[in-house]
Amino acid sequence: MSPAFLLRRLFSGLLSLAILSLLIFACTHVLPGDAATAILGENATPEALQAIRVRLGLDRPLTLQYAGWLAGALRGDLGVSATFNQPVAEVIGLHVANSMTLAAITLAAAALIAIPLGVIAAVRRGKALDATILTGSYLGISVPDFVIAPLLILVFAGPPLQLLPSSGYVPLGESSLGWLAHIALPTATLTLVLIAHLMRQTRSGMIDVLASEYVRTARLKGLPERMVLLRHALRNGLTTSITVLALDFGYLMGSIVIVEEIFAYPGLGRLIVYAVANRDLPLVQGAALLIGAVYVGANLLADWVHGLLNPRVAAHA
Amino acid sequence: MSTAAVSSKLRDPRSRLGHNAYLRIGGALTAAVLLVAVLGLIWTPYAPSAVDLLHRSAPPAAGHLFGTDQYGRDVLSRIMAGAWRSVSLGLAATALAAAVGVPLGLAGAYWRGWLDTLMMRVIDALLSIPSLIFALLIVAGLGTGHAQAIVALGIAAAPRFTRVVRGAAINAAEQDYVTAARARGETTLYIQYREILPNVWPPIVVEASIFAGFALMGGAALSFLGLGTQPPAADWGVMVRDAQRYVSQSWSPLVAPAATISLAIVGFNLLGEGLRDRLQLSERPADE
Repeated sequence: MSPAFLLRRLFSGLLSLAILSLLIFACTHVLPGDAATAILGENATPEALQAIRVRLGLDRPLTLQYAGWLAGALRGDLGVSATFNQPVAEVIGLHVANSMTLAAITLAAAALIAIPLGVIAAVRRGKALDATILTGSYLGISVPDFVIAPLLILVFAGPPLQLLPSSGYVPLGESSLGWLAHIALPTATLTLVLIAHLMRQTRSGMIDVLASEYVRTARLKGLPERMVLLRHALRNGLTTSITVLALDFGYLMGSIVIVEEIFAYPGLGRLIVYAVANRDLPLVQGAALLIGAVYVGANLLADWVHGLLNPRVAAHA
Repeated sequence: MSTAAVSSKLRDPRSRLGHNAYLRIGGALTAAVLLVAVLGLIWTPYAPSAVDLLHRSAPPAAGHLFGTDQYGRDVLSRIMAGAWRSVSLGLAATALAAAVGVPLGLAGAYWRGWLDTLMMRVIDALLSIPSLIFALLIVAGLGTGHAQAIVALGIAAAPRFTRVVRGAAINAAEQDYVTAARARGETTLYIQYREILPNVWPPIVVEASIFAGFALMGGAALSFLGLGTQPPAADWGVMVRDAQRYVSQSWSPLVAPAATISLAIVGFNLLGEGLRDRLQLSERPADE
């Protein structure tokens, strides 16, 4: 894979992030209400508001504020949270690892479950098994995360079984069993949300590959179907799945917000809901910027893996 | 139909699975949801906020088909009363997304050039933020509430809408009838809205129907997070949020609105898929 390809991708990722930072800043500044009113409340005197605006630098022109914020963000300084009175980067740092754990486990579980099912559905296309998998994935896409989670709580944390805790968190260092019990339902919810889409896309990717000329050639030259599938079709079929997995990462982060809120899980998602509800704008900005950066990074990673699996992509891009 | 179109039609797995059923089921579900939403405005079995302390957390029975919640309020009545707020949120957000996306998409496809390139770069960047997070950002600026949720979801979906419209219009803008219209001196607005738009509405309608389902889900999610509809007003998201805390006492206040939301989403999605099939559009690309 040529370095030029990766560089180009890196550049476009950075450009996306720059535009994104502008949007985040615009959303939290151009719209009415600012951090000063958020801190002091509706009944603050104009003098107090002005004092805090000067302290926070909110009296400067917007372009200067944006430049200052961006320059800070590049150094890892995202300002001070209005509600925690702590640097935003510190507050986020306390939560981000927990969310990443959820995301990593979910992605691994979803890939392990959805990709094989999607491949099976493609191979058995039009048969009863395919129809079952398709219908199941349709249900999975249509039932929202905030419905799945309470239902799981109802079944697994509810009175008859009471297998798992319905909310909260125990650090891994304290009790590994407690940790496992507390992340079981959140990750199960997220996995159920994710596998539906991934399964569908894997299926349609594999169907395209299986209908392609080179697979027909492999069949015509008398290769057993197993070999055609494992040695020829799978590699190209998987590139679809990887792209979809990276794109689903964004969707996953939306779901993480909801799931963390439901299970009172101390992660970035719950933090951002808290920040929005309390109008802690520096915290909202920082968290949104981080989420955007992670998503852009995930897509870069997917491009890279995609290029490894399919050299033509890199050559033609 | 070209040979390519025919072969892709043959390869379409859904034509074997009786895909026309999508349109019927989706249409019926959507119609039912709309009917309930309108009916809920004028009639509900009980007053939706009528408290009945003697029948709190009652299981489903003849008197209360979906049971009662922790205050003894009839769950069915609350679903019906909240339907309009949930459904109108989905539809209004979709309308807003289309109102932004159609003019931008048409203009980009018609004029092309650096402004179009810039717009597409910005859209790519906007699509790199998860739409719920995007909506949360806007809510952070605008504050919480039903109208704010509509704006947040509509704006968050506008980039995707713009891309769909532009993608559909870009071919149409190069057709002979556009050249002809230009040659006879029609205004650019006339060409965009009277010549191009009528030829590209199928993908727009499909996208709108599918998005209406997602917007309904997103609106319920915002309400669920306490950032959309504010109590004492209730939509389906608020109902799920309230019921979640009392789930050990009774399950029907949770399951009933949850199932309703899911059915409504399925309805809009199936309607979109069915329309796509009926209008003979190809499946959306893998990145959608």
